Amino acid sequence: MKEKKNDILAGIVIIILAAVYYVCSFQIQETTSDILGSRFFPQLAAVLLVVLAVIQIIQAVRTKSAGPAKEKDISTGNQKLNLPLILTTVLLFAYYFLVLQIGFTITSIIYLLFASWILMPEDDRKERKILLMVICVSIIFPIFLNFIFYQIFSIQLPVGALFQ
Amino acid sequence: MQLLGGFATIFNVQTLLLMVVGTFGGLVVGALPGLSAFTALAIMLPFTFGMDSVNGLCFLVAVYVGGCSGGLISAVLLGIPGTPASIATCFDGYPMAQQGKSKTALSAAIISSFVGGIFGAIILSFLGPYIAKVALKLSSYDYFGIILFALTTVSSLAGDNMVKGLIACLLGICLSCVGTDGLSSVYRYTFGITKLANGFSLVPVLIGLFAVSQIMANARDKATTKALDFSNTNQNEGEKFTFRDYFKRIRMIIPVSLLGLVIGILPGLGGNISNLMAYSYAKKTSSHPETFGTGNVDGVIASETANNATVGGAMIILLTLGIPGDNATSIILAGFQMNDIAPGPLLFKTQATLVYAILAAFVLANIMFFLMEYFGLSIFIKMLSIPSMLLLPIVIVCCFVGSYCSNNNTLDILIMVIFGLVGYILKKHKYPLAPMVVGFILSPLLELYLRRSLMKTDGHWFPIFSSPVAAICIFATIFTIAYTVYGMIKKKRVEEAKV
Repeated sequence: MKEKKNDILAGIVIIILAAVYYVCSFQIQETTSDILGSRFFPQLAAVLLVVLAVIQIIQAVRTKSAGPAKEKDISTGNQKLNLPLILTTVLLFAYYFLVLQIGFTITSIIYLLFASWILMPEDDRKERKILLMVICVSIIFPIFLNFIFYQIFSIQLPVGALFQ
Repeated sequence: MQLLGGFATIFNVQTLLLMVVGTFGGLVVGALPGLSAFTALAIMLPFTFGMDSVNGLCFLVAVYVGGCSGGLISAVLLGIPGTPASIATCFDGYPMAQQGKSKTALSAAIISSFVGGIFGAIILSFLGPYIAKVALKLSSYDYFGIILFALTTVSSLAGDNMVKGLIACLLGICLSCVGTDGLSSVYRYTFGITKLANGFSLVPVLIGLFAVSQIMANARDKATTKALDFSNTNQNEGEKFTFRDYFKRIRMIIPVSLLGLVIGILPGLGGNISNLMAYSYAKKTSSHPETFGTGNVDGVIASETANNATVGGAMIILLTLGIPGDNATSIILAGFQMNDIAPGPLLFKTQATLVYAILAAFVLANIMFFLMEYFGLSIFIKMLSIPSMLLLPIVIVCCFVGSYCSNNNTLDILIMVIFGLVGYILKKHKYPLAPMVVGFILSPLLELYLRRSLMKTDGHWFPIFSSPVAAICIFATIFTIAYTVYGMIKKKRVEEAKV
């Protein structure tokens, strides 16, 4: 049942996105170099998206009226609040913004330490040996990566606004 | 003869060493559940930025071959497929290990992977140049038809629901429109951001959609972050399976190899499907189908032969037509693009040295992974005990480097993270990601060939059908859609009848 609701909701979101995409296509400068022009393809994609989203909604509604859901929603991750997932996502964005400020190496060390801690099973957090391994790898790996890229490939990884 | 030239190109210490590292890395990453050949390629991609085109692409091919072959270890010993391409290997491999025949199952799986891979490589080497020759004679009408067919096939076959597949494909098409229009040079959907003038780069989009979203899913299912426990397994139980034992089953091997190859050629399917289809074929044609699932070595052979033959099929369509069949070949395509090389029929003419070096690398990578797995299995088992809680963040760091290095642009890192989130949401709502990526890659070409075709015909659509190849492809597209819709209706009726 939840999956059907999700499908209807997803269909509506896609229709809205496609409508915005279609409207924005009028900002594209019209060209006459060929018959279709530069607006045709994006507009066609938006129209087809709306058509398919409507079909998806109809499919979902029909399945809903055909009877109750036969089995439990088997898709994983339906918990209300999944802390490791939320923290991983927040960390990813934080990683990006920190890379701009303090550069790749320091940010990567911080990221590896935090991300490993989040993903670590509860029992492992009490094991000194595992913690020591995590700390060592978190420090050594970014330094090693930076060294390889700078010294061998001559590619400068982001140094950050603070150190520029 | 030209293939021998390819071997001559790659037979130098640097390339061989890179290939050994690539195959080994691919095997280790591919063997870890939750990480696939694609993840292995995403991790290794940044390291190719400093290499020349031959070394970089041979390295990626080695990673790809290793990544596709690594999944069998945990599939046999633990019943957990390292990659989705090894799911069917578990069905009989794991029961065999439990019955004390782990050595037989592992050696059968390794030999099967090797023969399947070599079969794919040989077909690719001989068929590739001929397909490329034919492809060179195709017109813009034909290319339009072929790409349209490829997009529809991916969308129809990649998931359970064709509508969702098509929606994902169209989302990819919409995203590909961002940037400068190839024909008229006007900006589309850049909203004044000059860094978007060239559109979204393929590398951050690919890494975000497939690797980052996968890591988010792994973080959600935190249980998978525990290290694999091989302490209760013994890989030395039972008799060793030999090549002679393998070739005794030639009547089953030939059809499953061909099945794997054809599935690889069809965009959107890949090893994830071929191993299951080959297993089901072997079971149906066996004189003892009831033994399948209880430890019949034929099940392991069928699955592993087919999934490695699929790699050759996927490479055929990538090298000759420039169409990526699955997510892993998409990242190899990105590897080509990074070297300013466009895969396609012209490649065999303009970059023959590179093409034959890649073909030779493909053959050699199969030999390398065979030797590594056959003789160094215990080393891999030790490597697989690395806990994922440490490995997943390392993958993310590599993804950040890969995205940044593709253009030396920090905006690409943000694009990767955003696409990771988008990929996770789409996957959670059961939208397949492969059609989105293939739509993103192929739609600029689809638009280009359509507009060029209509320029030729003064805006008339009918002459496009006058080309036999285009007409066949367009009718095949219509047939694919009709057949999938029919299958969906039939499935729904059966389900309703059950209720």
